[in-house]
Amino acid sequence: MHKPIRSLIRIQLKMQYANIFQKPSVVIGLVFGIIGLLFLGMMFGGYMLQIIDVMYGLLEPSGNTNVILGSLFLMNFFLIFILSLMLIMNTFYFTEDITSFLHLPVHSYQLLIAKSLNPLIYVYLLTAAMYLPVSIYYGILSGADLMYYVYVLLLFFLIPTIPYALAAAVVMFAMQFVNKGKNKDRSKVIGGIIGFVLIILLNVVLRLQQDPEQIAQVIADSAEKGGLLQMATLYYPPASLMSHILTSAGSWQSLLYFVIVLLLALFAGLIFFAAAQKFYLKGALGLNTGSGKVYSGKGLHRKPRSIISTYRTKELQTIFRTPTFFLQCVAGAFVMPALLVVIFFMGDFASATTMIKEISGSMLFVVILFANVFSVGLNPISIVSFSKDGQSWEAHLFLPLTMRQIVIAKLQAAFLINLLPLSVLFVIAVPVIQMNLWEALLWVIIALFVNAAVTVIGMVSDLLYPKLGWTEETELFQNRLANLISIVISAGAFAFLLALLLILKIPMVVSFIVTLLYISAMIVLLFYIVSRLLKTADRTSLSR
Amino acid sequence: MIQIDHVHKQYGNKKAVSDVSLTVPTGKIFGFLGPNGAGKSTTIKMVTGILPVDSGTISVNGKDITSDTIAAKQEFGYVPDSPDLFLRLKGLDYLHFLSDIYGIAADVREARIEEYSKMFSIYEALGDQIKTYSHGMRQKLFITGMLVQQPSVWILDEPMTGLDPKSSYQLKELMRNHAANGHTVFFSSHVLEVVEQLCDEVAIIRKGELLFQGTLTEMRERFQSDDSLEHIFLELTQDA
Repeated sequence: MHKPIRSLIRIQLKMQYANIFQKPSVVIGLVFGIIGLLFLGMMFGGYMLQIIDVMYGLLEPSGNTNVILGSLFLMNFFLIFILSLMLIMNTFYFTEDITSFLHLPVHSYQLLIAKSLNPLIYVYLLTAAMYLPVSIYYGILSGADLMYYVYVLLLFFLIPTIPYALAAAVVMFAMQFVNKGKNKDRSKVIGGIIGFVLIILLNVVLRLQQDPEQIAQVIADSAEKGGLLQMATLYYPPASLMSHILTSAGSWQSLLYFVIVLLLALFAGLIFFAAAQKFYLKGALGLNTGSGKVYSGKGLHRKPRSIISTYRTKELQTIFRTPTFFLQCVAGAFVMPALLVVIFFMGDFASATTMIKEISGSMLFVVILFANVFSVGLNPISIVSFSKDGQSWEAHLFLPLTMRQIVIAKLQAAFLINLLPLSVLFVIAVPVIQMNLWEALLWVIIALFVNAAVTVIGMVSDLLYPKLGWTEETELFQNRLANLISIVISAGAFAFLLALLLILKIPMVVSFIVTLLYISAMIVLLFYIVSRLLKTADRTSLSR
Repeated sequence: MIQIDHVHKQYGNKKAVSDVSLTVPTGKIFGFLGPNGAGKSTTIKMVTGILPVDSGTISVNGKDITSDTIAAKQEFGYVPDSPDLFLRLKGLDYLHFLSDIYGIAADVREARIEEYSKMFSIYEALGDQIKTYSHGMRQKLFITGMLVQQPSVWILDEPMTGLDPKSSYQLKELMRNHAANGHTVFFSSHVLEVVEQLCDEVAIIRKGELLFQGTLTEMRERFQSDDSLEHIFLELTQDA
């Protein structure tokens, strides 16, 4: 490997992964992440293998089982291509550190090969999760020999190269034109929103096609007519080549196909190289966050505001103007309730209404409470109350601001942002539950109390594990113990209340009063904890 | 006036500031000198309330920074050495934010923002986020913020860094006028020519200890030297 690429990879590794395992929060995050992945993998893997099982049974009589592998390679191609588009855009163009490499005397392709390290880790993880279980299970079902598994392993390394290189070329070509305005922030937000839309669409597709037998039947029917493999060959020829390699493993023909796939992967590498050399710098150079407009004097005259009001405005401006905060806390606020609807009701309001109407008064109250806690609890705004200031925190120490003013203004800003998911949920709930005025009022009051409590819980978590020394805002949302603590406290505090209400089965009005008293007491206690944490913290780093 | 009495600051086992006593009088420009890591920024950060004092007292215009914090902070304006703060705010938002915190009336702030931002040639960029500013422009914005606030005590940590010659000249003139009007200017610098041109008094710190405080004439008398400040400074601060 070229020396510059080696050096660039080494520096990337040092910057991103050095000492990472010395932080307890990372280790705990990793353990939870692995458990979560295993859980998801088992769920998804089980689902996939169920489909394969049925499909194999359907296709075996006609000898068309290779369609299973063809569709697997085709699906892998599309998923890796979509994931790569998002990862490449972020890694090649939007990370803050990219400008520190642009002046170095290295070729674009050398820099981008080194920068590909991180996205390729994710791409290979996805490939391992999607491809390995299915291909191994297919081998077991077809009683394949050793050569089959050798090819499975060799293809594992080749599968991501073509979609990754093509996605990189597409992004590099497009970014030349997309960034005519050179506005990095706007492009970041648009990219993020497209990502959210894709997640929702993927969920909708999954919900529409949830019966494995039905899916298997559709694919099998298509295969019987010779349509699916034809389609795979037409749109992505390597898919059928790869399926032939595996189905005729051990023959000379499969070796020939393997060499062709290898050449195609090399050709994809060449496309990556050419795109990097020709297009990359045109898109990457000059990316900035400036408007390029000359200030016209607008807004020079402004009425003075109180300290809390001006601080709250500053908080909201920071959240709305920072792409990461905007995507996580504002745009994300709309995604979560939308996902909730897709997951639970798939937009079928009529059956949801029938379901809700069958619930008794006290149970309905529990549902309202749960929906609000879930909706607001997922928004990370208050978990970054202090941490989002980063190095600007120093200004709070020399400006004549009291800690009380700062806390109140930060809570108000987080409370206002948290009203977004609550409002979306409320708008969805009105036609579903067909609430009367009294029920709507009850919903609103509960939502406001839950919002206040969860907002202060987030602030407590942030103060317990603050992170002011970040270089990129995304670090605040990855591997942070504060996120976990907030979920644990919220879940614990509200699970107790929910359990109490479920056990007591008291009338709705009594439940309402009990809830308000419980949450009020909780807020008072949380405020006390906030003041204690601020008193005992080192004021420059907020840590203890 | 800034009064620093027997102030200590320690980081772990390392003494950052040791028993420093200093008086920055009104009506004077006071230069604070020392090599890198001598304790200048630590002292300034204690004066401005960013770092807590281990022992000793600091007061600004008679208000103690530890016990009467907010009142003391109302007395001074501060330009930090690295002006990388509030990067997501627009220049104008930052100036309004600061004006609100210091309670500057609408018409007064409007006139001052216009006057000083035009003086430092950043008016046209006020609609852009601070993140997009160069180091020099950020420095000018924070100086403008202090001028909009117009406090009686100015505390500036390396204020000339990154400034173009015109802005540097204008700042020096403003510092002279401020002191001439009976106010206090306390600044740290590495640029000894600037200190020599501007300062009525200087203090030199090395390894956390104060080596000298007085006028430049007093310094020459004390060290019996007609050399430039640069020579005296180099001799004073060289490792024994």
